[in-house]
Amino acid sequence: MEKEFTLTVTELLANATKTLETHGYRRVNLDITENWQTSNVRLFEDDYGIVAVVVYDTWGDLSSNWADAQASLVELVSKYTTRYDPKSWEGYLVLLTPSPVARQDGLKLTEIRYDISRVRKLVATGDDIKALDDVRQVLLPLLPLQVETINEVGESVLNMLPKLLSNRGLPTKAVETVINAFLEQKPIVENLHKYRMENEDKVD
Amino acid sequence: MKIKSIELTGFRGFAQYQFFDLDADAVIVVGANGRGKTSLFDGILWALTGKIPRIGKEDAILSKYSESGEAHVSITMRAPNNELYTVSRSFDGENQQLRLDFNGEVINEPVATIKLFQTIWPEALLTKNGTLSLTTAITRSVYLQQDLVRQFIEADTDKERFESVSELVGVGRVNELQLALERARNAWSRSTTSVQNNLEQARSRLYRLQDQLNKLASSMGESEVNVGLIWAEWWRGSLDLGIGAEQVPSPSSSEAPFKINEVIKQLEAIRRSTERRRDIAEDLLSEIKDRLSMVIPDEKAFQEAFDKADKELSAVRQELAEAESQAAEERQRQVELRESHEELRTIAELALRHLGPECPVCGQEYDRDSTRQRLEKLTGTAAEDKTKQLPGHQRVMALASVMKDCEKARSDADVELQKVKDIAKENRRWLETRDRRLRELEVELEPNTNITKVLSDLVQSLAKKTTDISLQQEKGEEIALMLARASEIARRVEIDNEIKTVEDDVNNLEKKLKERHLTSNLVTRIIDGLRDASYFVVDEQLGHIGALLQWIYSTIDPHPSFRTVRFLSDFYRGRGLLDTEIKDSSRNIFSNSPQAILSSSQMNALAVSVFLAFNLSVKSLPIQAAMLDDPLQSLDDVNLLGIIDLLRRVREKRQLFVSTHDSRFGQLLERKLRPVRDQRTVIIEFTGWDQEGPSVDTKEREPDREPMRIPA
Repeated sequence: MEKEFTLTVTELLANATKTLETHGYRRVNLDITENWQTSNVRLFEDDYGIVAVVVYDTWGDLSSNWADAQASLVELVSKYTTRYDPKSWEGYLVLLTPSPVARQDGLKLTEIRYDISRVRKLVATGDDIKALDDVRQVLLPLLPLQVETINEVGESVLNMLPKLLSNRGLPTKAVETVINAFLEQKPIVENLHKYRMENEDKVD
Repeated sequence: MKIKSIELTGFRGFAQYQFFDLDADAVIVVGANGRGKTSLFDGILWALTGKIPRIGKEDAILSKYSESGEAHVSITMRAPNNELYTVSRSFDGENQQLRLDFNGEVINEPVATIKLFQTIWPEALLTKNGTLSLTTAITRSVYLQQDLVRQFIEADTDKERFESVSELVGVGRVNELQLALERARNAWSRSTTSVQNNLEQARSRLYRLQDQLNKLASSMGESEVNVGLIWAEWWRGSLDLGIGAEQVPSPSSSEAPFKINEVIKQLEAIRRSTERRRDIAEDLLSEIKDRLSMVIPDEKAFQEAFDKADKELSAVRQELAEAESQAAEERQRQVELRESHEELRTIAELALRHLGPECPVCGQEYDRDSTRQRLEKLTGTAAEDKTKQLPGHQRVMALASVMKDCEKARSDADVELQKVKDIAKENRRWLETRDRRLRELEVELEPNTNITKVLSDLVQSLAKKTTDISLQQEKGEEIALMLARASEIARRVEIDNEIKTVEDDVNNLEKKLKERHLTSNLVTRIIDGLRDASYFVVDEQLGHIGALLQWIYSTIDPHPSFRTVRFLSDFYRGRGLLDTEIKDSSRNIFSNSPQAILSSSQMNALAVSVFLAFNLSVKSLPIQAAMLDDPLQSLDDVNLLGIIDLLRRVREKRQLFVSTHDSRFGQLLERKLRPVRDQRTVIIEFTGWDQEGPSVDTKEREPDREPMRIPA
């Protein structure tokens, strides 16, 4: 049987920390070990919410202790926000473990995930986390949208054409010549002809 | 371009004028169903496009309670450079009016629609139906309509999905390039045909020149001629023969053949003129010779003879008249005598019938016999008188005979006289003609000139000149021929050179044509490539959109196992097709019919994900906004939270409009979308509705300027 790659608790915690800090979260350096009963916890805050990332060694630990973690987070949020502060509702609990979910506990995982009674929970286990980037996938609901706008309608679409048409055996430069002439409103075929004459060996 | 405000009057649920301040990063619209939330969103769509496809009939947008009977919506947008653009659209139940106020410049129809397209969605100008294109772009990527949240995934066909995505990602530009290239290729083909024609003409010219050269070659062979020596002599001779004074050209000049041709024509004219004069002279000479033997009678003698005959006739007439007068008198007398005799004869005949023994008158006896004899004599006398010719009459008869002879003699004399006169007249006329001809012949006669000799000399002179001219013409023709041959030699050289030039032209044109065909073939290949490129462009763009879709879908995370989503595109029979596929990666189970797998809530989450993926991926949206009309229906709590958390991130990229009919969700939205730092959030609450329109409570939440709570 193929041995599955699993990340360690440290790797998960480090990766989650790095991901959140990279996307605008400020790490909260509080001595929280006592309250949280685990050292594998990190706290973060941004303009909208307070995030606790807790990494458990096993699924069993997670399923047994997540409620404590939630209580700790609620307590912490309550400590720093007032009752009427909207941010008091903005707690997020990220529960991670490198170990897979026990076969019989699939429903329990769903229940944790769908329990939004106090804070929203993001849960991921060894079944979901196979690589470092999977941590980022888990944290996506917390991250600003990284939008790669696909185009300025028009010209940038045309810029895709040389590469696309080169796959069909058309000379890239020839296609670029056509597009440039089109954009500059110059005679298209004349420009292509001129280019072809000057680069006969490359085109024909 | 973001929306700053909207004004509505007579539009859908807004019977009366309403103004909304929308100048915020997030606008939350809360209100129970039927209070105008959707009308507000539709107002933005209608102002920009003039259409709300979901509603159908155009007049359905007109409020039933509109006092003016008109609908009017005006939205003001703010460009990134803070310029303000106001789009005002009105509808009177039949016609729409669009009016733009672009940073102070007022633009009305028909330019307004085009200007609007240019400003917010230039892609519309590349499509057959720009309004439809703009409407589709907005409803696919800007305005997620309440009733059509899942339309893209569920109701649209794979072809419709692909086409709407094509427009969103700017494939129209590729189509425009393709059309421009096809037009350019057509023009290029026409131009190539022109080059082909030029080539054919050049080849044809080359063949003609080679043919000319062959002909010239076949007519050559004689040694090169030198006309210089005889040229001057011929011209002198021609001038002597009377051609007009000509500037003698050089025999090698190009005008020499034409000049010699002209001179030969002149010589021909002179020759004909000379021959005509010679003919005239010959005819005249012949006539003169004929008339030499002709005797012209003396008209005077004939006149005298006539006069004499006339005189004699007059005399006889006179005498006859006198004789007739005398004869008449004699006849009168004879008549009277005859009447007397007749009376006596009648009496005698009566007396004879009544002759008795005695006189009936006097009763005396008488000699009856002698009386009878006398009476019978009287009756016989009368008969004799009738036949007796009178002497006067006889004389008249004699004179009449004489007069008849005289008349004949006079008539004969007259005839002769007239003949002589005619001859004289004809002679005079001929002499006039002769003199005229002589003048024509330029012959001046001196007294006692021998006309015959003069004319004979003239005929000989003219005949000689005619001969001289003919000889000169023949020489001229020989010289012309010599010139032509000399010209052909020169022409051959010229043609040789011309052939080389035309051969160069033909070679250049053939090469040019070949190159043009190669370019044309390349253009055709590029056009073929562009036909398929639309699909590949969309496919490529979908790759980018798909990544964001996955991000958004994961952010909401609606399904515990189907957590992967992607676009599936295909190219079939020249048309692009697009489906949405969800996948359980852990089990490698997938479906391109999400509605068969996902719950209604999960489908809504997926639909919102797809909508936002397009909204956020396409940079050049008609407006930089995301408008979601009550997207939170049928969502369970976790999906609801997921979407609202997502919307909070969306507001960082787009001006966000979101509505909900549920006040609890409204509060959640208000909390989640609260403004931080310099953000602005406007909450519009529709608290009621009557015939004048909705009751509106607009509020603005103070931004949280120091949002961090835990000390650093």
